[in-house]
Amino acid sequence: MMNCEQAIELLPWLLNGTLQESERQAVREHLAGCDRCREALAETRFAWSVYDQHLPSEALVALAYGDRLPDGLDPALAERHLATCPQCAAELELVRTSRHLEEDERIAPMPFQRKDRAAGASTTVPAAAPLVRTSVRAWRSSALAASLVGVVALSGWIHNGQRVHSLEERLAQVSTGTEATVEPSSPQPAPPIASAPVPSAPSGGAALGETERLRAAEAQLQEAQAKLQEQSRQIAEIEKQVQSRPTSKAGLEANFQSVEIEPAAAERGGDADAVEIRADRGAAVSLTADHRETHKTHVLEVLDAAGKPVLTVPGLQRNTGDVDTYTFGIPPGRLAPGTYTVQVSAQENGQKVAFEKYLIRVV
Amino acid sequence: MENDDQEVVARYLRGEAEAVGLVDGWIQRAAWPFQRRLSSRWDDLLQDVRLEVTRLLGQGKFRGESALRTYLWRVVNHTCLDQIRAQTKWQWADLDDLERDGPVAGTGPVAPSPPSRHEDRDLLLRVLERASEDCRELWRMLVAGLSYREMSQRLGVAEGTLRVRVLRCREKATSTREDLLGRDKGVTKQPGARLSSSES
Repeated sequence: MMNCEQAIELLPWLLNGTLQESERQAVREHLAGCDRCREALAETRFAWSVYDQHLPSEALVALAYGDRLPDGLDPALAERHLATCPQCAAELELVRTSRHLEEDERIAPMPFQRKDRAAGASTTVPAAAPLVRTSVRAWRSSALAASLVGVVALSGWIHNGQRVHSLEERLAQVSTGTEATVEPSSPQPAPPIASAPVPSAPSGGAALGETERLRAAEAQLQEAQAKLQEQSRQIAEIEKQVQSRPTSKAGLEANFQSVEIEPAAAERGGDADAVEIRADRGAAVSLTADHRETHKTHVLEVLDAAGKPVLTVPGLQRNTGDVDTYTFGIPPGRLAPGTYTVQVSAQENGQKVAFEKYLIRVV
Repeated sequence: MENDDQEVVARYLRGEAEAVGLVDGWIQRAAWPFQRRLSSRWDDLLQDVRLEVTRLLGQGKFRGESALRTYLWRVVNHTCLDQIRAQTKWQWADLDDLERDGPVAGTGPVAPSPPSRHEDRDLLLRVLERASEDCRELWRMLVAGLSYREMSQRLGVAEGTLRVRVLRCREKATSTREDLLGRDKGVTKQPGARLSSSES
């Protein structure tokens, strides 16, 4: 049987409901027959009211607005309480922040990001979040596709442009002042042939040789210009296709895949977590980086099941942002069905240093 | 301005989309700082605030003493603070059958009710400010719902020692109240004297 001293000591935890069932039962039985301890229970409730005492919400609002406190509350007492009560001080700050939002229209509240623990992703309040995420993903896919097309087209165009420019310079240098003139059709600024430095006129067989080289260079120039025109036409066609492609996620993924891969899947071993890619579709792959950036460029290799490289992407640069990534493209039909390891590495003092690994399964 | 505000109130109560949108925008902006603390029931909270605003405006509580926008801002802050406190308020175990003048029987666990008058709260705050920081800390843990075993582990003291310290803090609160009541009102100390019925 519990005595008064034991029962009174346990009363605070009887109130907060954390006593074990046997203790709770013993205290209750004691209380049922003991007036003194029931009186102590009332005192315990009073102590709870004291120690759980805070400024009323209307007082906090009045303080935030610099108004008079509700009747009966001593302002000096309220100030002293605020100095020792972190909960009331924090709540007063919330009200003050809200007041600033009322007074200053220029303050734009940021949408609150709530971590969705189950999905491991952040969502935005209010509940229009799934729609926002879908449209963001579709936008990212479109942007990635357009970027890849742009990079391919631009590099080809620059390469050919440079080639044309180089040929025109060579042509100008070998010019012998003959009647042959070349109309530069390239948009690249090329030095005018008429103003090119003219070497002293050779004679006889030497002049004939120079003429042949000039004709060969001319032929190369025309060939390069034709290629450039063809590529410009292809670029225009691709751009037209991209623009006419539906912007919805379903439309994009009908012909094109956008996949994001975490490196952890490969670290765990096995291919259960490998990200699937359709062999008959092109894919823009975004790889999440997880090592500290120390290199300007990286080499990406796609290794087959035997560890043999089947696709190599040199000069891979890291995209920095909230999450650093590497992006690369896999052309349709480039990889046969099977499981592949994507290995990111870099050169360090002439040595290959391996970093992240990712798993993909081509189906 | 006042007429404009009354016009907005009238249009809001008629459910006109523009006025409802305006008031709702104010509500969301005013409540924004409370989002993090109330995120688990944010949509419900906004709905509670809208209901409260509609109730107050419908009862003609807005009398134009301040701008409507400021009035609504205060209502929103008030409601959000009350929601935060309701969310963290620990429930008392149901002991109605043991107390002669406790809460109404059969209602299950109940939250300690705040003092009904500001004078009562003023006295409770004065008792609290005379308490030691140790006592405040011990009772903060109790109010937060920690068992004595959890508290003794967290504080690194024996369970028996902890129980005695908590008891001394309770006695200190009682004696301080008696001192304040005796000195301020010239009443004779009475063991277990109650401040008001709302305390129990």
